[in-house]
Order: sequence, then C-alpha cells, then structure tokens
Amino acid sequence: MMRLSQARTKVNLIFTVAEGGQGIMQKLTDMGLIPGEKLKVLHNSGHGPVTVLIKGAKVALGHGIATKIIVREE
Amino acid sequence: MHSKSITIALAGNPNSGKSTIFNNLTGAHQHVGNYPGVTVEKKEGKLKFQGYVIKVVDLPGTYSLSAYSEDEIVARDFVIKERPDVIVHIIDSSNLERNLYLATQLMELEVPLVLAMNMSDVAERKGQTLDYKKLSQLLGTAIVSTVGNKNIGTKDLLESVVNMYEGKITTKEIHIDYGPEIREEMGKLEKIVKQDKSLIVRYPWRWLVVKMLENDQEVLGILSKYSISEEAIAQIEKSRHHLKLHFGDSPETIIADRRYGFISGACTESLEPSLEQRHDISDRIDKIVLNRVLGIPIFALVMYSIFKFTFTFSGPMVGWFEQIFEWLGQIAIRYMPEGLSQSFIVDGLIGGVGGVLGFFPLVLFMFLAIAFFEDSGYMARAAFVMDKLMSKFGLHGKSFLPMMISTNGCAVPGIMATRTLESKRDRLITMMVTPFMICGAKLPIFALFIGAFFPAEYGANIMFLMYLLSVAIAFTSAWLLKKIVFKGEPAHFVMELPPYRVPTIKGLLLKMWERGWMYLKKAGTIIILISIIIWAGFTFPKRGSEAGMSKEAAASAQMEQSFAGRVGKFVEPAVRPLGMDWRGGVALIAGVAAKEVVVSTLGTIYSLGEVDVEESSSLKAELQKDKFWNPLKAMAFLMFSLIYLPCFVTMAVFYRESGSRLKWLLFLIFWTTVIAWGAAFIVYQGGRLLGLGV
Repeated sequence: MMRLSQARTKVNLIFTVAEGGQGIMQKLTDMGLIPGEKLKVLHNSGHGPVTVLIKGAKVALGHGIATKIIVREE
Repeated sequence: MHSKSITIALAGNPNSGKSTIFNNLTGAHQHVGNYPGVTVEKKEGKLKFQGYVIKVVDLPGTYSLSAYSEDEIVARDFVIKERPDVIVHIIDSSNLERNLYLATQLMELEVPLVLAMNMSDVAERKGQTLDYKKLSQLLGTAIVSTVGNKNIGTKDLLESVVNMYEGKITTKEIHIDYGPEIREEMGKLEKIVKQDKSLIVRYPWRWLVVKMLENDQEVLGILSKYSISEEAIAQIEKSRHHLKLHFGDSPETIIADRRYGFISGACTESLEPSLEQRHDISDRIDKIVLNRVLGIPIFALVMYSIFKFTFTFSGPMVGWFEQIFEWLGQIAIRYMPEGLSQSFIVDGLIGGVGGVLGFFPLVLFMFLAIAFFEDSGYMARAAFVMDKLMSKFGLHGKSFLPMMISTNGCAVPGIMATRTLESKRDRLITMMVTPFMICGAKLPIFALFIGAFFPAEYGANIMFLMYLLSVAIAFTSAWLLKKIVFKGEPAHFVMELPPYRVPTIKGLLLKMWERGWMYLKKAGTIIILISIIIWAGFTFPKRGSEAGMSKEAAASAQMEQSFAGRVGKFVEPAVRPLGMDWRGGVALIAGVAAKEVVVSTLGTIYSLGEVDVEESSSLKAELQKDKFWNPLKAMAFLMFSLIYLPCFVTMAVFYRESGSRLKWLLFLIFWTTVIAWGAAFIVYQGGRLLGLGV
C-alpha cells in the first residue's frame, strides 16, 4: 500500500481508495477509477502532478489529490 | 409533408468530439446563450432533415450525471425537464469503456438514446473492431458510426434519430443489474416513491431510486417537496446503512462499480481486441511537453507565439477599424450642426463604441490562436504544467488561461473563460485577479508615461517590468484572497489529457466567431450606456463661452467645472498622497469607462482637443513641460492605473459571471481600490523617502 504521489513512473498499480470524502471519489469514478481498477503511472516527478493511464485514457492528477489516492502494486 | 419538429440533445464526455458533431449537424445556424440561472453555455442549432425541423441542443460536456458540478446538473435537468425526443450520446470510440459510463446514466433517464461512435477511424486504426449490432442489443440503443472531423456518418446519424423518433427502431429497455442486495433496497424505495403519482410522472422512478441510494443532494432536495419525503429519507438512511455494512464500501461506489461491470461485460462481447493501450505519438510528444525541465519553457514559447500571432495579424485590421470610426466621426462632424447633439454622437457614441470595437480584431485573432491550442490538446497540458505553481498561490492549473487572455487582450473574455473552472472558489479568485493583467487598453497609458518620463533606451525594460509586476500583483492578490477570504485549497486537479489532434479549420473558425460574438454582445450592450454617462459627466453643466478663449482652452475649462471635474476635485485629497492632483483623478475616473480613455482625457485636460490615443507625442511633450510631473509621480500613476478598478464592461461581466450578486462586485471594487492605493502610496512615498524625484 502506498500513495499515488509516491509511485514510480511506469509502474502498474491497483486503486484501493481515496481519502477525503465523496467528492474526490466521485471525480475519480467519473474518470473510470473505481476500487480494484488498474492504472499505470506514466509520469511522476515526485512533487508535481502525476499522469496516469486509466481505462486507456491519459489523466493528469494534481499533487494534492495524488497524495490522497491509496494504491498497491499489481 | 411533415412540418413536425424534433428536439434532440447532444450528450458526451469532454474531448469526445461533441462540438465537431454539433457543427456538422447545424453548420453556422447556431445560437449561443446561457442555461437559465447559471453561467453554463447553451448552444442550440436547427436543421431540416426529411421534412422535419430538428432542433439540436448541445449539453455541457460531462463524464457523468451526478450532482457534483453545475454542468452535470444542467445536463440532466435539461433531459428531465425538457424531455428531448431523442438523446444523441457522442462517444470517443477509441476510449469506449469510460465513455459508456455516461451512457449507463442516460439509459436510466428513459429517453430514446442514439449512440454515435465517433472517431471510429481512430479506433479502427488501433485495430479495434466493434460489433455494432451486438453492442446495440446489449445496451438497448441505436448505434451509428461517425468520424466528426471528416464529416462522415452525419446523415446516418440523422436517419437514426428520425427512425428512433418515428418508432421504426425498436429497442429493448435494458436495466443494469445492480445485484440482489441493491435490488432489494431499490425495491423498498420503489414502493415509497410510487405512492406519489405526481412525483413519478415527473421523474423516472428507477432513476430516482438509484439517485436516492447514491445520496444525490439534488434528488434529496426534490424529494423534500413531496408528501413521501419523510418516509423516503428514513428509508434512504436505512438502506444506505445496510449496504455500507454489507459491502464495507459506500453505496455510490458499489453502484459505480456495477455500472462499469455492466460496460465491461458489454465490451468483452462486442469489442475486439477488448482493451488496448494507445497514445503512441501523443506519449512521445508528452514526454517533451510535460518534461520537468522543458515544460515551462515550452509553455512560455506557446504563450509567446499566441501573442506574436495575435499582434502580427490583427495589426492591420485594428487600423482599419480605427479608420472606419474616424471616418464615421468626420461624417457626423460634417453633416451635423455643431452643438450638443454633434458632440453626443461624435464624442459619446462613436468614440465610446469605437474604443471597444477597436479591440475586436485583436480579441478575435487571440481567440483563434487559443482555439488552435485548445483543439489540438495542448491547453490541457498547459494547465497541467502550470498547476504546481498556480496551486501555491491558491489558483488552479486552469486559471492561467483567463489571465493570459487578459494580458494584452481583454479581461472581458478572460473572465468568461473562467467558466472552465469547476469550483466556485477557484472561479471567483481567478475572476478577481484577472483584471490586474495589462490588457490591450492599458497599453496606451503605459506607452505615454514611460515615453514621457523615462529615457527611451529603458522603455522596453520598464514595460517588461510592468508585465512582471502585473503577474506578481495578480499572484500575490490570489494568495492574499486565499489567506483572508477564500480559505481552503483549490479544487483537486483531475483532468483528462486527450490525445493530440489536428484541429479542423471549420471548428476553429466557429469557436473564434462564437466567442467573439459573445464578447461583442456583452461589451456592446453596456458600452453604449456607459459612453453616454461618461460623455454627460464631462459635458454638463455647460459653461458659457468667454470671448478670446481658444477652443482648446475652453474645452479644458469646461472639463474643470463639469461634473467629472468636480468629482476629480472631490477625490483630490485621496489621490494627493499618491502624487496626483485633480487632473490625474479625473483621468483615472474616466478610465473606468475604458482604460484608454485615461489618455484621451489627459489630452482634453491639457487643452489639446482631440488626442489620438496612438499618437500621443504632443501630449507627451505637454506632460514633460508640466512642472507638476516627475518620473516618481509617473511611476505612482502607472502603478495605480495598473491595479485600480477594472473598466465598466469588465465589472458588468464580472457581476454576471460571479452569480449576479452585488456582494462580490462590491468586494472587487473595494479590493482593487485598496491594493491600487496601497501600491501607489508605497511607490510614491517610499520613493520620496529615498529621495527620488523630489
């Protein structure tokens, strides 16, 4: 288990949960990210925003939200 | 022949090519307005097909129909309240699963649905083959394949819509199976809502029940107006609690999971190969564009190219516009008797309207350049690149665009561009700081004062410094607003980075025109009124002419004792600590009409009669001769001009876009005045303490 903000580039992950309430979960759900969903980190510099691949679409997540997303390695 | 009309609504994700399809369907017959009560854009168009008049309404681009954003509420309210005959859901075929999520929610609204599998060529190129017949059976909808940017499939789509309307396509109603546990709770709620006939006549009961389990705040609000409200709320709580215990997760997460499960089931059966990674070229471009080191320089380069493009190509047209208004003014002078009505037409109307219209070509070209980078997919990347920096100051990554449009351009379209920001807080902060940028109309003031009081060789540097200063002030101001007024963090940055695409010329031109027209409408309607008020302020009360006075001197004397002049004298004590006298005060007050008016007003005060904003060399000389001014005072004046009250048109648009609440407008006025006064005070008094310019 770790936070998405800590994930390394090119790693395949599985989304577990997002902290911080329904608003965030809703936003992620809209982009196709539901618990158990796979995602791939395309780029993460460690302190800026993170780009990930969800259901074949490239999505950018700000650093703030990336620290609230809990993932595990596939 | 039929004379019946059909109303269709276009739904779809952002980046699904929805607006391209809309353009293909309606061509130039479009109308842009607002959905009532909100600042969400509503685009409508009409076309004739097979004897029908088809009205097309473009719903806001959304990923789902929850109640978390204004766009989503607007989209679903339209479907529920206006009951369009057919909904066309535009889908990016190369990203089927995510796009179909919206379809599952549209299906629940129980309106005939046609799916347009757009960008089907991209999907095919990826080696995907979709079994349309199978998917159509699985989803219970009609499906058409389209390629929006090549205008392929438009006719098929229309045929399908008409067939759907005429009942020639029979589709089986499909309901997503949410599983036994949720089904059971849905059953309990179903019994309750079905007690109230007036409720289920208005809203599809299945949709209501699912939304109730999802704890949808809008739906809960609707329920509170019905007799079954109390019973329903109690049952919702019980059901949600039960499901939470059972699944160990929130009901809305489980429901979303089931929807995606349904989609993924449908896709495995109809799509081959089922899921594949794409973005080969886009990935390579992003590696460079989003690079940690190169990202910001590339962003700067793009911004520079937008400015360069805008100024290079709009230059001649701005000239033509000016000539047209000059010519109109001359005609009025020649054919109208000298006096009040002539002065009203020439100085009030033509001068005022010309001032705003003069910027129109500039704004238009700027919109074109921005549309290019938007449609190509770069703007999403730019927001991404800027987000880290922007969020430190309480702004959102997307806030850069309004600020950029305002720089050298105009704050009016800048404020309108804040619509892309989802959270109210981010929008308000961005709207508050956007007018601080140096817009096209402020440029002449800077050119005049820098030219008059600073050596020519430093001119460009000082100008550059002013640009940096405007950015610094906007950012500091945003940071202060975040600390004092809008506590909390900017909305989370979640944004799709669509694959890069080559924009279509038609799409770009339509976008440019649509936004340009909106600017004209907003600016045009108010500027006439304001021009009249300002003109009257400088014209009345009339002063008897004295013999032996030159025309210019009379104009100057008239100004001093006009209403505006009196106001200037009145505010003099307030601006004296900033190194100004009543003349500066009047010019700045007049500048609220439109910023370039500051220059022409000074021209009138210095008895030059009509001063051309562009050729203020004689005014420059007058200012230099005047013992009153010195470089320090000029600097303080520039500081004040840079920051103080936005022009009337900007304020009017701000008022409307901030939700038509006087509170925010008054705050904007207070905020900009305080900061402007403070900054000019520091410059002037600080400079004096340092012994500069005394």
